[in-house]
Amino acid sequence: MSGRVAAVGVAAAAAAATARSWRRLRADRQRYALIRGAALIVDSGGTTAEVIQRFRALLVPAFADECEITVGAGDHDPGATLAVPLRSRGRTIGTMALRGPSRSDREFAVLLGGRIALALENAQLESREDWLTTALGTLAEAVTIQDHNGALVYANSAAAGALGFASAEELLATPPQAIIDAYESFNEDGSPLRLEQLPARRLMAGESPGPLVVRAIHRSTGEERWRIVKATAVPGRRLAVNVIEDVTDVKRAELSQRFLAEVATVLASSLDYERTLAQIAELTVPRLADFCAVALPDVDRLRTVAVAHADPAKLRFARDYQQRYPTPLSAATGSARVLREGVSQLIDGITDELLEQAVPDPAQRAAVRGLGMRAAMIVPMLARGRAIGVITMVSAESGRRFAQGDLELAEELGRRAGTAVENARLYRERSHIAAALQRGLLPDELPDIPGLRLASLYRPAGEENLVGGDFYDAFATPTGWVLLVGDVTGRGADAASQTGQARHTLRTAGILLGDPHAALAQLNLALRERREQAPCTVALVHVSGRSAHVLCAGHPRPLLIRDGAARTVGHFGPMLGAWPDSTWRTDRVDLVEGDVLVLYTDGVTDTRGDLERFGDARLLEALRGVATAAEAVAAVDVALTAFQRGPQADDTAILALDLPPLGA
Amino acid sequence: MELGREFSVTRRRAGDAAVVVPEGEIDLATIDQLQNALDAAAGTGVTEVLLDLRSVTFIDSAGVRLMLEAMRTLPSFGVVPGGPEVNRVFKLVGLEERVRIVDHPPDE
Repeated sequence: MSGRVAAVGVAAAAAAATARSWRRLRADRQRYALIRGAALIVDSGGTTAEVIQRFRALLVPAFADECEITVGAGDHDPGATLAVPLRSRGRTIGTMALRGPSRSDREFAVLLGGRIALALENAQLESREDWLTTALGTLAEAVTIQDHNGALVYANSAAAGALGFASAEELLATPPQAIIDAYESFNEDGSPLRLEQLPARRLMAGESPGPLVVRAIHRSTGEERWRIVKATAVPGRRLAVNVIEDVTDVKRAELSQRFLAEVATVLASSLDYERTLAQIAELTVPRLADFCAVALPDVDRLRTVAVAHADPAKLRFARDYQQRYPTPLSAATGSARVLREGVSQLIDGITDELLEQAVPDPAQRAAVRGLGMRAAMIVPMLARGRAIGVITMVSAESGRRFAQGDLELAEELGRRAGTAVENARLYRERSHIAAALQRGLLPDELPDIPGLRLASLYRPAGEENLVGGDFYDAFATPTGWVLLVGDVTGRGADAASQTGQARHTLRTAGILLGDPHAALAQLNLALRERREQAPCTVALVHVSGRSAHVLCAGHPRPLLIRDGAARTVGHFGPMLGAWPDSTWRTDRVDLVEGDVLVLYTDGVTDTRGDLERFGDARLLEALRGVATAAEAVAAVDVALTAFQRGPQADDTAILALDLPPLGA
Repeated sequence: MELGREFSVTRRRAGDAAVVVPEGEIDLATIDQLQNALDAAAGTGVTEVLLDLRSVTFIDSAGVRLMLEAMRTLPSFGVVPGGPEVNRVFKLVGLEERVRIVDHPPDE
């Protein structure tokens, strides 16, 4: 009996155990579902509020009648049957209070709490990321983050704007290659930019790249931008953060300054303006344009004097085009108009319609199309407010568009080139006049005088000075030979004409009157008649046989070198053109064989050295021991060249004669 | 010392006279400055213009020409003679005998 009871008891117990097992199994399944649900919530992300909402939906009523999740420290429901702290990574971040479950469920509640804490923490991290993203979004600097494959994972709106996109989303949705292909990019030195040169790429390749300066031209808009790209690695993640700074304005200003400095150097280098203009055209390509032409008006058309193109084939083409289709000065538009009005023109976006309008001839239009022009700047070359030529700069292959800053730079170039060309022209004209006048001031060659040898030296002052000043002459009169040197004050055309007058009056009067004193008197009166004060000085030697008569009119006295020693001969007399009643003393010197007589202008003694002027003493020293006229001239030349410092301020003339020893 | 490239002109009134005092070298480079000073001095209604050459270290033909012009156009133009260099040139061109020499300005 007991066995049966026992058996029943066992059976009952087994049944009860089975029922408990079933209950437990059901409860375990429930808990498993809860844990799995919690894991899904953790993985799904979302904000803190969303996380709390989802967990409450999971736990009520499956696990508890009520569930309250509090973030941070706070009071919880005093009627709660279970309250567990929400702990993650050793830190309590909130509390979960439950109504319904028994104390025996506490262990499971703590387990759930761990999942909730993790989900909440992720939500908070995400919100911090949001906050950072918002902050980055407000930055003026363009910021992008790219992964190790080069794909963009983040871009702020400045980056989108800088790269020509309407929004960051649009930028992120664009494949990296398409972003790159939208621009033609160059290094600072003008070489094409290669992808592997980008700092982010080099960073990923394990290098430590510095900032990179990039010039980018948008292929469709032609806009040119300068950027500095810096990349930094995100520690622990294979990400690179790019900070892209737009330095277009700064870079343009810097380039403009450097460009203008180079222009100034070129313009100052030569007075040959056609060569200078060719150099200017070369300078602008490719920095300012792909093609540059400089044209000057020539009778009824514009003559192209300089062309530069980055591509030699195109250069030939451009040259041919300019020759085949010269622009008539009467043309209504384009460079002819710029020349007429002196106002620059910027043509942005050269379209077919525009070409049809501007170039009516179909053949010519086809040729223009061959140049592939995209934009053009035509600026006047201004000199004293007047346009004397035009510079045309064209953008073609590079596809770049001209900005206002480019036009301003081109205009400045036009102004500088204009002034330089004008100066060079004036100089060229002046040089012609000077050369012509100079020929009139000096004898073509010294005459052969029987029994005498002559030598002369003429050192004109620096090229920036006009002729005028010193002269010398040697001619025969009925009574002997006259040798003279002279000096008029002043420079320029006036002085030159006065010099011419002086030389020819002395020559004519000398030959006609045969009397050097009368010749001086004649010139004295002639100069007095001039409207302007026109003083002139002359040293004159009249050689007749072996006797020389010396006259000085306001001029340094000639030097006689006899037996190697030099001394002055003659007396000072009043200069010519100053006083009407002047007279001059005539001194007679009897020449002997081997005598050397030297006439010179004060340009010799006034020559500047380091500390003082050449002076009389150095001249006498230089002439010591000379035996012939040629030696005398050479000795003075050598001494002056060695002594002189700085540019020559005044003309210098020397005329020497010697009486060769018999048999020489 | 570098050759005196420094040049200055001062002028002052001494009774009825204007005294113009150039210092340094009178040549093409400085002549305009001196000419202006002389013109300005003459324009003040004085009866006498004196050119004090005692501080002049060099004078060339441009200076001589200016002197001739002054003798012709300025009222009672006179010169206070300078050092040996100026005197040499005055002698050379004949100014020595033609220009009115004043030993010192009236206010000295």
